[in-house]
Formats: sequence, structure tokens, C-alpha cells
Amino acid sequence: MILHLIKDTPANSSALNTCLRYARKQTDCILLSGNAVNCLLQAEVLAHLADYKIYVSQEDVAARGLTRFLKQIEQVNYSEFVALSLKYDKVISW
Amino acid sequence: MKKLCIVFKQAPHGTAHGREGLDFALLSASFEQEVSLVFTGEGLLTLLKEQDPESIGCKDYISTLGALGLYDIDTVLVCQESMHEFNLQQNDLRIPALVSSAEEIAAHFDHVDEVMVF
Repeated sequence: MILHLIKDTPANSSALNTCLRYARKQTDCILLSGNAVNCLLQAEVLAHLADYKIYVSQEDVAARGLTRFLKQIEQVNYSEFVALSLKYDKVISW
Repeated sequence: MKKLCIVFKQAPHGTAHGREGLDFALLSASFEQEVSLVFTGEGLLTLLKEQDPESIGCKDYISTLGALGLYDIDTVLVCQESMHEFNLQQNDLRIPALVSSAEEIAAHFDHVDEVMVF
């Protein structure tokens, strides 16, 4: 039961790809914030993330004008993010 | 006493991540925390033999890897997939390390209290 935090886009960092190697599809979840939300526009990335539980930071999505592009992904605001981090046993910031 | 796992995912030299991660590991261990290390992706290259970072003006923190035993850091896991990706063998590594599958490393993450990624 691990919450994985990704803050940078795979174009700049190995965070997401390294995380996907170890995240467990059934029990873990992945929260994308900051520039990491941008990669969800790419069908290829979405395909990779298909069977993972994915959240995006509402503020970061809105700030980047991506809200209507990422409607299908569950958005959490900051307080929901804090609640989420308490729900999971551990948080790993990749 | 906390079980801390420190993950090295970035290449050594060029940036300070590797040195900071190792400093953090040694410091935590000297404060009696149970520290384990995981090397994955380009972080694996930290463990290569015959490095000479000072020749390119980088601090040689690699040699401190030899002191892990002194700090009771005995668990060093290395990602099997990365070893394969970078075409490395066990004897290319300068310290003893357990080549582990992604599943074994994921299980290790469950087992420890905190995971810090550098």
C-alpha cells in the first residue's frame, strides 16, 4: 500500500519509469503533480499507466490549462492529497 | 530505530544527488538507523570499479562505498533489469550486492519504514 509521488515529466526525469518498475498495480497508487501531469496527454504514457490507480494534482492541472484534456483522470486537491498520504502505509517521492 | 531505504536512480558525478544520497545513508547509519541501499537505472553506475571522478573535477565519494560495512550497512540491492539494460555483470561491481528482481525490491520497500530516492 504505497503512494508514489511523481513531480517531474518523464521527458526530464527517470522518476516515472523507475516508479513503474516497482509500483504494484493492485495495492499502490501513483500521484502526478507539477510537470509530471503533462505526460498524461500522451497516449503512449496513458497506455503504460492503464492498469495503475492514477491521481493528478488538481491545482497543477488547472494552472496548466489541462483540465479539459485530463477529465478522465481522478483529480485531487491539496487536502485530498494529504488525506491520501495518510491512507497509504508509506509515500515514496520519486 | 527506523528502517531506512535509500534508492539511487541517478548517475553518479555531474550532479550532487549520488553524493548526497550516500552522505545521508552514512549519517543515518551512524545514528543507529537500519539503512539499506537500492541501486537502479543509471544509479547502478555508482558501483562500477576503476572510477576516477577527481580527474574530471568531481569529488571522489565513490571510495566511501568501501566503508559501508563499518556503518553496518549490509543490505545493498541492485536492480536485475538495470544490470541487464546496462550490460553489467556482478563482478563489475566494486562492492558485494544482491542482484534482485523488481518484485524483490518492491517487497523490500514494503518491509522498510521510509524510502528516500536520490
